[in-house]
Amino acid sequence: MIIVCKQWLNTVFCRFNSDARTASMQRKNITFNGFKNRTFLAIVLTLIASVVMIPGMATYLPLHKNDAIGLPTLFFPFIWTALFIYSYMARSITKVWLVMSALILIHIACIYFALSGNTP
Amino acid sequence: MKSITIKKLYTLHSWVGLITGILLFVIAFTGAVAVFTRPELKIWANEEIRAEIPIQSHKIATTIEQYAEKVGPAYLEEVHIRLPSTRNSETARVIYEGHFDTPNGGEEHKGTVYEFHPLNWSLVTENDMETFFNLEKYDMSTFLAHFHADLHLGRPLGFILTGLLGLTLMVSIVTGLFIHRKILAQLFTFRISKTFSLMLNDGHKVMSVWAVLFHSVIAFTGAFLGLATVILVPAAAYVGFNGDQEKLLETFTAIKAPIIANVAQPTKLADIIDISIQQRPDLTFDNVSIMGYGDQNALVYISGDGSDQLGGETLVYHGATAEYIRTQAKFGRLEGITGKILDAMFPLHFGNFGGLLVKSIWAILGLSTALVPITGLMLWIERGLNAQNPTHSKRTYQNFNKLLIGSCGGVVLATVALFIAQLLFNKVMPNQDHTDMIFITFFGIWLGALILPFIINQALALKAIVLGSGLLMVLIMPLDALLTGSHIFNVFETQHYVSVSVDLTMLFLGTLLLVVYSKMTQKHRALNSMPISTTAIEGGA
Repeated sequence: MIIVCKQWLNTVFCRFNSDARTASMQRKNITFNGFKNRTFLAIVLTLIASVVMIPGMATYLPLHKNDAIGLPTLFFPFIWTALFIYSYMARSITKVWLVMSALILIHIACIYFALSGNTP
Repeated sequence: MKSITIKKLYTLHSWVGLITGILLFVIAFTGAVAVFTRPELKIWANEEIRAEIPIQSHKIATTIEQYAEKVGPAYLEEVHIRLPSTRNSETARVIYEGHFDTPNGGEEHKGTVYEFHPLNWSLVTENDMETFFNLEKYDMSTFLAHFHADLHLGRPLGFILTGLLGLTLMVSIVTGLFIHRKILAQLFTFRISKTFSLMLNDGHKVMSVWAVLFHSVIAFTGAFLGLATVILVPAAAYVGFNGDQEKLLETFTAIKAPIIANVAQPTKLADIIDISIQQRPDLTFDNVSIMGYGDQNALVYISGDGSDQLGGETLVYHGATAEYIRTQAKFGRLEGITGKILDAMFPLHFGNFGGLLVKSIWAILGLSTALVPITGLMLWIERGLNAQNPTHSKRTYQNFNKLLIGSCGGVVLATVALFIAQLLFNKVMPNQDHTDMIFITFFGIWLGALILPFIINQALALKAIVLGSGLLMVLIMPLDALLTGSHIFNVFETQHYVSVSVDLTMLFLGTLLLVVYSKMTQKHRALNSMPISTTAIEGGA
């Protein structure tokens, strides 16, 4: 199962990378490859990831309850800024997709387990 | 750092600046003015609060008791009093609030809001809580404060927009720091007498680098304050309080309700106010909250600013005995570091923690935050107009320049016009609601200024806006003296120190603008003698 997943991921990555390469070859002298893709990541996924991280972080931060709830809200502007810049600066768009998706999924899982009262 | 990385950062910095620059100027400029909205401009805009207002503890206590009998015991769970002595509003306000069970098992807060004359405590208005908080009643000071907070777009759109602007300012700061790495050299480079382009370039860098800490604080606190109520608090409450935002606010709020004994005992409000003034002369008290008014277990919270504690202090008393219990900060009483940071948020954003000097520094630095995107945009236009192979057509740069002059110059002109308008409305329509007129004046003038560069020569439009703003500023002092009779020569008699200081400040700034106008006229004449127009201002002339 893991091997199949790896093969599928490889295929997807290759397609992403080849798409990006072709695009960059077609349009020379551009600063960002996959500009629309990166803009979508920077505007939509960055906001989703940084908002989901607020309640998500509250579940695992080893701090007093007030800080565990309050600090993620204070971190929000920094997390958003970092993810926004990362969306444009990272060499591989695939990597950005992976990081964003991982952040969102992990924190949604944390929220789910916290609300259902189970531990993963 | 690799050149492609720098190029990417530079492109990102430029695009973020291009998209948000004008809006950022509008928010930052009104923010620099909003620093003084409470109490300085509030005092200036309302004649009845121009002189000092003493705290009349016995008058307050008698009024609260009188109206408590009127509203009945169900509405005495919370009594909130906004004292008129700080002159943060034109009236003294008292809210009587009760908690009622709803059919679906929840709790509803209902109450009555009374507004009183700040000096004689005669009743001005009476509304239920819902009506009162949905009322939009502005004078020029509250109009500017609200415009800075949400651009009058309301909740949640306005708050999200201003919050996002704070976030994009953070992006601009981070990318800018990486691009302009030779910070030390740039700190002391300002070639004002060389070319217009160099002056813009150096001005942009000098204002960015010298005030980088201030810009960062404003960006962070602005993003937090803008998004706190619409995104951050609901998200934080999702797990910690199972989505119950009220419970979260209750946990973090400083004012706790006591267990009501249901034994009637008068609340010694006058004694508590007098003791507080006597014990803490360093504090200026602005709010009093009584939880369980008239009950044996009533608690009285009296809040004030002025001490070293950022965000102010609250003194807590036992209501029935006037016995002092403790002093607490708004959030700082909470365990952990979050409370201390939350306490610092408002004062750091508005600069209201160290008197008039800190406010003035905040306003000047706030103006630099407004000028940074403008100089950046002007640089972009300048380079585009002078480039051999520009990215966009000359017409695009010219139209953008017109938009820049109209929107940014227009907001300055409209803000200054509000001062004149307020004086006229106070005279022509005394004791009436001026909200609609304030809106029409501000947005009408802004719209007019926005269109002006597209109708006439843009350099001429800019000069007209600068001249108009300067003349209106200079006019404020004589008009105030004429319409209200309050001026510098009778200031010791009237004790209108704050309003006369505002008049003097506007006179000084107006004169400064008229000097700028005069210099612009001289420069315009010199540029007209040159064969080719070379500056962003002159680009479309």
